[in-house]
Amino acid sequence: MENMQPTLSLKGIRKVFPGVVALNNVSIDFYPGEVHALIGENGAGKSTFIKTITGAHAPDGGTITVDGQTYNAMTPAIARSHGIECIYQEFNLIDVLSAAENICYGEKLGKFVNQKKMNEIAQKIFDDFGVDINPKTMVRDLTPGHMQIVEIAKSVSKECKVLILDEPTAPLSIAEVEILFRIVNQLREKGVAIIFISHRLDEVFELTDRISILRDGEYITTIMTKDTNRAELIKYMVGREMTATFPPRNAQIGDVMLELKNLTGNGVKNISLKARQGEILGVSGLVGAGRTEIFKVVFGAEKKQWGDVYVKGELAHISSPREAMHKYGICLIPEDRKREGCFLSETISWNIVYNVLGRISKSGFVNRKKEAEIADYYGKAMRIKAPNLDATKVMTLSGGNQQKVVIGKALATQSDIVIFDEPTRGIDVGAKYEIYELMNQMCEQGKCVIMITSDMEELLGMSDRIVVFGERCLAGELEKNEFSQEKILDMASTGGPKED
Amino acid sequence: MKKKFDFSTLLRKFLMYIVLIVLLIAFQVICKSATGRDFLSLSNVMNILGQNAYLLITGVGITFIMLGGAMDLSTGYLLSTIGIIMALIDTASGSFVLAMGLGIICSVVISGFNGVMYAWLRVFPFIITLATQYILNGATYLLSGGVQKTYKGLSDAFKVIGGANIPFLAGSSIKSGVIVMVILVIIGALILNKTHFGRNVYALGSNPDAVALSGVSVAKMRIAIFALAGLFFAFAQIVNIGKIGSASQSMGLGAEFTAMAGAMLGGIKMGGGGGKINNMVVGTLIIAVLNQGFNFMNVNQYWQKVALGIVLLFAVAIDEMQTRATINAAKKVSGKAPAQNQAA
Repeated sequence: MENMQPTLSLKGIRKVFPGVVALNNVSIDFYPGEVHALIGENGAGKSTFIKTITGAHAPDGGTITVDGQTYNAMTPAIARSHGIECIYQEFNLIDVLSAAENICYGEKLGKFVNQKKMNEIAQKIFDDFGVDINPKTMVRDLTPGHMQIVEIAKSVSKECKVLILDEPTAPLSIAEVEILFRIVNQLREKGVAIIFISHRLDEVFELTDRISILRDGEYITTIMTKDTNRAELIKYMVGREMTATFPPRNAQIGDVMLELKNLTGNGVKNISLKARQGEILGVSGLVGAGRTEIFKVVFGAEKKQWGDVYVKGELAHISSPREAMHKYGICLIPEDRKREGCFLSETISWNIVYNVLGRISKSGFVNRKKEAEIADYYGKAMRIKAPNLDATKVMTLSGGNQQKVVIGKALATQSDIVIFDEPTRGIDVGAKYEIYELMNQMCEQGKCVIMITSDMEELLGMSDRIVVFGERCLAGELEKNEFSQEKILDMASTGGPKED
Repeated sequence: MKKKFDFSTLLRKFLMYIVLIVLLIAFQVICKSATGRDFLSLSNVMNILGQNAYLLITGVGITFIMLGGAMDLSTGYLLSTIGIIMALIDTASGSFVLAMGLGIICSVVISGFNGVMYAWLRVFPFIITLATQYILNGATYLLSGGVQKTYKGLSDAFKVIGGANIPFLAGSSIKSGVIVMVILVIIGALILNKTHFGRNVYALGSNPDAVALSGVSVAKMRIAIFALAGLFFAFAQIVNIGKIGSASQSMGLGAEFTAMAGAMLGGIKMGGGGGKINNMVVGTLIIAVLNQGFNFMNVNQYWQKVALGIVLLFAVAIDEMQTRATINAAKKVSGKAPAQNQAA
């Protein structure tokens, strides 16, 4: 391969976002007819790297060479003109148009829309792929797997030279994955350079020729797939020094407060776990592995199919978040604070008391004095930095302070079981530390904290015990003395049982 | 972070009040010089209020619906339908209490039906209320035997509630409907600002996902908001009948747009996200003053509509600028730019 000319070559790519170096001096070559895996943990810089290739981001340093032409930065138009196509996790299809119309979208086939020709083009590609999709079917009527094939067909019809697949197998069933792999192999034979991003190492070994590893924005290495093994890859992915510091905690772990027995619902199957008083239970796993989903069931926000939840040893029938909060003392601090957590256009006090209005209202009228007391108490406890709790709107706060408002709002319910979903995502280091201190305080007060997180340092630094989700079921559990990044990653990247 | 006196914030908050006052003064100056009549006389102001009392009551209901993140196109036809129903019952039974009671119940049920469909189908209420608008339009005619009809000779009680002249300061008089309006506006404001329910109305308009995760039933809230609005709509039509002295199929038509325009003019956002009852009151009064002012100056009514449209666009533009300014201000980082990074 070394004597071939690379289709696409990136040299010394650097990209800095405010406060983080997303990519630092990354150089990778992509050759025609190779399937090249790009792997790394959440936040390793894979997405930024891809966006640099497609022209969505302009790098702060380095060069991109494609077809012998060298650029300091791509634009989407230049990338397209060189046949660089990317299929993102979120499909970019127009769901009210047919498969054929989507494939030919943006191309002028004569003066008028030529349905017949479009259908022919689409049919030919589908035949080549060996898949049975009617080109006239509307995209919204297709399965996710077929939608993805339409996306690939769209790229192929534009004679792509570089095809980027970002987590392509995530939404697919096993049968669909096989079809995808077959198509990828066909394209490899035609000389397309394929960049394959996946968390599933099994697939990486099955499909790819070479593997490049990124970690914390740094390029680690590129190796031939046949010369490596799973353990080595995981070592490359995690070999990180722990840099963050975590406040010390002096908690007494007590009885089991929350227990799930074979809980099933919201797409996640047979989850059994225990969380104890005074304990922080870390919940790990890839995004979409079912960690958030099952706790939404526990919280009553999604329906359960079967299985039981026990709160403080007693069987709990939780059918709504209201019951979870007010009857069983469970609160949930959601992952997407802007979408699910708070009311941006309202004030801090307004948000903090929102869940407990019933308690501070008399015959429907809100007691302003009690409202101010509660808001003041939690505003101080959370150390929310704002000029005036009663006048400052949440939308004007920083991410860290917004998160403190959301936590304050949840804690005002005086729940004993606190579920955090990505508690420190997108907030600065100082605010992170304060949130860790708050968690410690909760433990010392005898609450039970469940922390769902993608942040490995936080997971290892804060948890007393860790459960790992893989593929919509429980992949394993680790006691504090067993903690290791390798073990967690190994569990999380094991393709679990999958059904059609 | 100290709180400092901020002129622009204050201006933003009271902008529409200033517009209203400027309009009143401008019409006074123009009318006085052109026709010699006083626009700002107590009797004229009372007249404006009397003419628009039912619109302001409608506006209270519309405000609840808009703050809750919805909209209602069927209000106008709902008003006319309720008017016909009350007129029929009043004529048949001679009992005002029965007419009013059943009218209110029908209004709450029909408007609540909008809410039920919205909660059930979860599509934007534009479509649902467009459909009910057609149903109600047909219903008003079916109720009166398929012909355009004006119901006269209704109980005096309508007049007492809506159209009676009560002596007021300096020989002027105030319509009883205005007093009803003031009471209902205050009740509306109390519900919105002081109660648990009111909080949920704002919450629903701001972030329905967060409401659901807080354990409040989004569906029940939507139904309750529309039903409550129906209550206000019923009173609006009672006052309107009292003012006019009769009921007909065309009474109340267009009220939905004037009320929504007034609310938006005052700063209540379509699709939720803040605003108070007094915003709606000021916005509706601006429209009322504009209309009356143009009438005074004998401006063609079609020009009045053109002017109203322009004012509405203007108000939306100002509102949008303010929102963007707030968002941009929130994005702004304090401090200075660092020196160039040499390492890169």
